[in-house]
Parts: sequence; C-alpha cells; structure tokens
Amino acid sequence: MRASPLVRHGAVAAGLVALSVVAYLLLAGVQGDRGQVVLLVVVWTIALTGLNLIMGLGGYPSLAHVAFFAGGAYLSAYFLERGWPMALGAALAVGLTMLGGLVVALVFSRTRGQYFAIGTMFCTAVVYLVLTNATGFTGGPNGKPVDLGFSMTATLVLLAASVGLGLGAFYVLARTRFGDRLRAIREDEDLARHVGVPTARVKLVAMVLSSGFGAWAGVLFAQYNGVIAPSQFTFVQSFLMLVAIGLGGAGRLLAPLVGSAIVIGFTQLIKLGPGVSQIVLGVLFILVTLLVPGGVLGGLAQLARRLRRTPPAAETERSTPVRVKEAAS
Amino acid sequence: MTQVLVDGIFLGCLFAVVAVGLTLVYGVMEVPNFAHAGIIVLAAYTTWSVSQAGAPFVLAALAGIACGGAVSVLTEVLAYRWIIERPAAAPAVALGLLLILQNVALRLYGGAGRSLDTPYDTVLLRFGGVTLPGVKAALIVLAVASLGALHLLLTRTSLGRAMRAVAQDREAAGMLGIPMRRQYMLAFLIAGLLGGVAAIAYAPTFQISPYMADEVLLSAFVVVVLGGLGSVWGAVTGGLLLGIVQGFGAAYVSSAYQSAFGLLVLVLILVLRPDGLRSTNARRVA
Repeated sequence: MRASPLVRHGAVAAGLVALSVVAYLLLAGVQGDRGQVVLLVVVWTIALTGLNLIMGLGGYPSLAHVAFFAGGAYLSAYFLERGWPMALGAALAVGLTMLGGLVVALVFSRTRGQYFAIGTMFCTAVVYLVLTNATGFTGGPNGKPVDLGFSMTATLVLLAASVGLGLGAFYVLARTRFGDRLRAIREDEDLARHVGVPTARVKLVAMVLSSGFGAWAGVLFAQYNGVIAPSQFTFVQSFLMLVAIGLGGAGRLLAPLVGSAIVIGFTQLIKLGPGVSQIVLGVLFILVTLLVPGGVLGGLAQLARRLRRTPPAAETERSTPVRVKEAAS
Repeated sequence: MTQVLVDGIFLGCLFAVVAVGLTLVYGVMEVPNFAHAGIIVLAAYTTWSVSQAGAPFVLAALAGIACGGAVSVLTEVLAYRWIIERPAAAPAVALGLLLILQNVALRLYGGAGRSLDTPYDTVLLRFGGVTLPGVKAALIVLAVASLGALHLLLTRTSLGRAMRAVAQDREAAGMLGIPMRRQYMLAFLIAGLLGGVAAIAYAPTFQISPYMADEVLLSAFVVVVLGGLGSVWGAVTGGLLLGIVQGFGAAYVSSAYQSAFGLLVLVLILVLRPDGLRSTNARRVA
C-alpha cells in the first residue's frame, strides 16, 4: 500500500530540512581539506539541482552549466568590488546570468540532442576564453580574490539552506505540468510536440531556471572560497557535472547530492595520482551508462523492487510511461 | 590580406581533416565522437616518443597515424558498439572516452607541453609577399592527399559504396547483407587514421599537451554543423569557410578570441538557417 500524498510530501520535506541541518553541521564542523570537500559537494549539489532539471527531466545534456556557475561567481565578485551591497550584487549576478542563460537558450533550445551538446560545450569554451583574456574584469588566468560580502556564518547558513530549498524546488517542479512536459520531451520529443507540448518554450524555461541554480551556487562558492580562477570553470568541470548527474541517476531528486559526492570524492579525497581518478571516473561513467542507465539511485530502486518481489508493472510509477496527454493540455 | 587568407586556408585544412573523421563516424553510427580529441592527443604523443627514441620522422609519423587508427577502433569495439540501440547515451559515452583518453595521456607523459621537431621545421616558402612555414605547407599537402584518398575510397571501391549505403539507411543496408560491424569498424579506423594525420600535421605548429585538441575539436564540430552532420564534402567546404573566418577574425579583431568566432558562426547558422542543420537523410557520406 502506498502512503497518502500528504504524508509522502511531508516526509520529503522533513528529509530535506534534515539534509540542510546535516549540511550546516558538516560545513561548520569539518576543517581543512575535508572541509573543502564538504563545501564542494554542497555547492555542486546546489548547482546540479538545476542541471538535473534540463538534463535529468528533459534529457538534454547541457555542457554550459559551468559557464553559469562562473557567471554567478565572477559577476558577484565584480559588483562587490564596486562597493555595492552584497544582497543587490548577488541578485544582479544571478539575474544577469539567467539573462545569459536566456540568450543561450534562445539559440540552442531549438536544437536537438547532439547539436545541443556541441553548442553548449562551445559556450563553456568561450566563457573560459573570456575569463582568461578579459584581464581587467576577471583578473586573467590567475583569477582574483573575492571581497567578503556575507559574514561567514551567513554564507554557511545560506549554503545549507540552499541545498534543502533547491532540492525542494526541484521536487515541486518535477510534480507540476512543467515537469511532466519535460519528461515527455525526454521520452519522445516528436510525439510530445505532436500532441501540443510547446517543446522549444519548455526547454527554454528549463534552461533559464537551471542557469539560475548554477549562478546562485557560483555566488556562494565565491563567497566561501575567497578566490576565483578560470581553472575552476573549465570544460572538464562542466563535463564532470554531467558525469555526476549520470552517475547519481538522471531525473531523480537526490541525484545531484549522490553524484557530487561520488565525483568530488573521487577527484579530491582519493589520491590516485594525476589523471588516474579521472580515468576511473570515465570508466565508471561509461559502465553505468551501458549497464545501469538509471544511475546509482535508479539501480538501487530497481534492486529494492526486486527484493520486495513486487511485479514491475505496478511499481514503475512516474519513471517510464509519461502522461503525454496531461503534459500537453 | 593574402597572408591572412593563406593562414585561414591552413586552419581550414586542419578543421576539414578533423571534421571529416567526425562526420564519417556520425554518418555511419550517429555518434558525436568527442573522443576524437583524445585520439589526436595520443597519436601526437606516440609520434613524439617514437621520434625521441631516435627513429626517423617518417617512421614516427606512421607510428602516430597507426596509433590513431588503433585507438579509434578500440573505442568502437569497447564502448560505442554497445550503444548502437541507444543513441541518446552516445554523447555521454563519447565524453567518458574523452576523459579516459586525455587522462591516459596526462598519466603517461605528464602535463608539460612537448614540441615535436620535424625535418621541414626550418623550411620557409615564399610566394610574392606571402610566407608559408614548412609545417603549415606540409599540413595542407597532407590534408589534400588524405581527403583525396578518402574520396577515391568512398566512390571507387565496393567498401566505400557499402559505407555510403550504411550511412544512407542502416536497416536497409543490413537487410541487403552488408556486414554492419565491419562498416562500423572501418568508419572508426578511417576516422582514427585521419585523426593521426591531423595530429602529426598540426602538432609541430602548436605544442603537444593532453588538451591540445580541445579547441580544434570544437571548431571541427562547428564545421560538421555547418556542412550537415554526416556529409563529407560539407565538412571540407565548411572547414575551409570556418578556417578563413577564424583567420580573418584573429588577424583583424583579436587573436585571443580566435575560436570564439566559431561560436559566432555556429549561432548565426542556428539563428538564420535552422533548417539547414538537419543532416541530409540521403547522401550522408560522400
């Protein structure tokens, strides 16, 4: 028997609040290298929640996500340098980055899978070029320090709260008609369009929303880290973000958290020597793509179902058969 | 002016050789082969280490090209072959392979840049007011020769005809008894060999590093979009066009943003001619 929706939503909300509290305790309590790992996992979770919208629900692999991340970090640093109040600077940084996301989306939301990947990858490459070459604004290849806008406690609280609120927003969005439309696009874009889903507009909105998540994560990252440099926003990073979502389980609520923990853990915690951890990640990513398309969370869910011996048809829930008709209306 | 044009043509030849490898694989298998950059890197490092070991340059170059072909076939056998039924997973697998190949290079040779010496390093050709270094001339010659050979293969041999058939309609080609697996492998072999050619031709003008091919790969993808995914001649003309645009952009606007002009071209096509993007169903290859 399935619990009533109210109980289920309540349980999710309680879980997310608990997650925020745990995130705060870890951020405040863990120091040194491990503290850096915790910070990165938290920041990535916030950023990747946005990517999980467009890539997880919509099936569109956006390689521009790190560009939005960089946009939030650099723009907020720029406004702070000008002496503007932090709240205004942060809002402007997120707003301007979302405007940039809108421009990217206007051009590329019309394109399909392969072209979309190529186009968004190019955006990241160009943003990287700007970061390294527009020395006056970005400080060039060596990056620049970021002034403290929020107090350290405020940054920690914002980081921890954003994890829960971001995931909560994703949970709600995934259950609206917008979420259904995105899933319809993932399953069969031609069919979705045929039954009346405004595919280009839905993709556009998803892209702009995801850029907002990325930018906000960038603002907080810059505040906590104190230094930003182009090497933190390379094409490899944007690809690792994709890997994180794929490993975690595209479209699943906790995929950003699980994926970030795996990717950051592999690249920062386990010292295998230069390159090796990324080779391992690459192999892992390909194996998961080939063998467990649902990622770690999808695989676990499948395993749990098999253990409970429920007939698969009854339990597929919302994952496979998308309610195209509702999505279209 | 003419000098800029010649430099643009040099860039264009490089893009064309890389883009033809991409488009061939896409035409036959519908995979956006991001791993192609990794193949170029490994081929370049192989050439470098063989010539460091004292072998003559020609031998080292052949070793590099062979390495490109071998690694490319390996990616097909080990990874791409298993996702033929799931094209949506292709970009993910391709990027995973790129991560693996680049970091293998990083692991084996370190992150420091290496320079590849060639016997024609010091040659400098002059025509009127235009100067052309030997390495760039060699690239143009190699590009024309390899693309010409590919054209002959595709149009004059039964193997090439079979490949064009697969690119036009996979199912029909399979029904007619064309061995599909061999065609997939062949496409990746040719793409890898072309990647090797690109590596030995362009490594001497830049530095060899694990990330040397990233920007070239992006430009080559723009070329592929320009010419239509899966079209060889589209890739050649698109490559020359983009090379000349980037050459002029670098000379007259800003050389730091050279590859950004590729994005400009890409955006312009997408905005102005979205229909011109769909890969042509017929004649995907040749």
